[in-house]
Amino acid sequence: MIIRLSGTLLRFVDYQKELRIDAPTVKAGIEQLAAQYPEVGKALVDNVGQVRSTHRIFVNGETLGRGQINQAVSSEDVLDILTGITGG
Amino acid sequence: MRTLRFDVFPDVGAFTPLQLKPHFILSVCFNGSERWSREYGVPHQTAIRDLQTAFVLQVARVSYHDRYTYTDADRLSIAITRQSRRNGSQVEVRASFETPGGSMVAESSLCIVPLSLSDASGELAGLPAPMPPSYMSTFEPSERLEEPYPSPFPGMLNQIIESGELLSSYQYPLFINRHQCEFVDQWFFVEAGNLAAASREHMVFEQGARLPLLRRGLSLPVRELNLLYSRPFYLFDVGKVLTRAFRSHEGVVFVHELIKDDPSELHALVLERF
Repeated sequence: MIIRLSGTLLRFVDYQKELRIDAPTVKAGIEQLAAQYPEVGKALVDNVGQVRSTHRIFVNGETLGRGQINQAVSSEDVLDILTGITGG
Repeated sequence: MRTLRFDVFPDVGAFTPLQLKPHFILSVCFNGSERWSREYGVPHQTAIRDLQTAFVLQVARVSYHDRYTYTDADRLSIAITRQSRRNGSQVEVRASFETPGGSMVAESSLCIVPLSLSDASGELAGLPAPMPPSYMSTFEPSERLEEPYPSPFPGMLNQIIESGELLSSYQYPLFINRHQCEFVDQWFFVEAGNLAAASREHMVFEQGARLPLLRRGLSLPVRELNLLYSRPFYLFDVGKVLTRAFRSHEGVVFVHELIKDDPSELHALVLERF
């Protein structure tokens, strides 16, 4: 899948706006992303492995609900990860 | 209610040929909010570090009064007030700008929303939440209001669209650069006004010969500016400014919608009255 990051998350991936990750599900893709870039992992995922409520995930433009993290994805699917609000 | 007073000495860069730039007024108002907090409340850095509380802007307003250009006076007296509203889920900041002779140049107000920050996030991500009790206790009783901030939205926009005559529309591309961002790569709020102004000026440049009324958007000073922030922009975000000009009984009004592409969402609304 193609993972696209926005704004405040970009600094944790050396300002790459798109990353290609080979994974069968959204959850596996985020885990691989976190393994490659641990700071993104800390920002995105809480200590029980859930995506933080401060972030929104879209798959091919459709919002991904809280219970849909195991959704299967293909190599051409696009995952957008957006930060809701930051307070700096 | 406590008022913080200080003087500023605007340099030539703070002015257009016609007036103080809205950018300058909003920056002084926002900075005045921080100065007030340092004097009477909790500094922003302390709130972030110790209370996991940060603030983002939701509404900003500027209204101009007496004429004031660079050669009129070398200093302005600023008066800042800060109040909790809606039981701690909003903060209202008010600023007035007066010359030494007592002439009221402009007034500004901000509605700022507190966020509860995510614990382990280095990006200061958060969700809206009321200010914690230790922060609230720094406000005097007269500075704690239950009523919400008196936002001009959506009423003012509806009134412009329903009663005004649409003169023309325009679309201007938008790309967020780092110099427009702030500490966490989120855009600096006053940039909304600048992006809207850029769209208006391009509209006047391209359509002013056909629609001379549009040129009031450059030849007259702005009388009033209202900004609503729905979602933040971030570094590298791409989008557009959709600008519409209306003729109203008071003059010309420009309505700007700042929209991010992919996913397409409205991020800010800017209303300028001339």
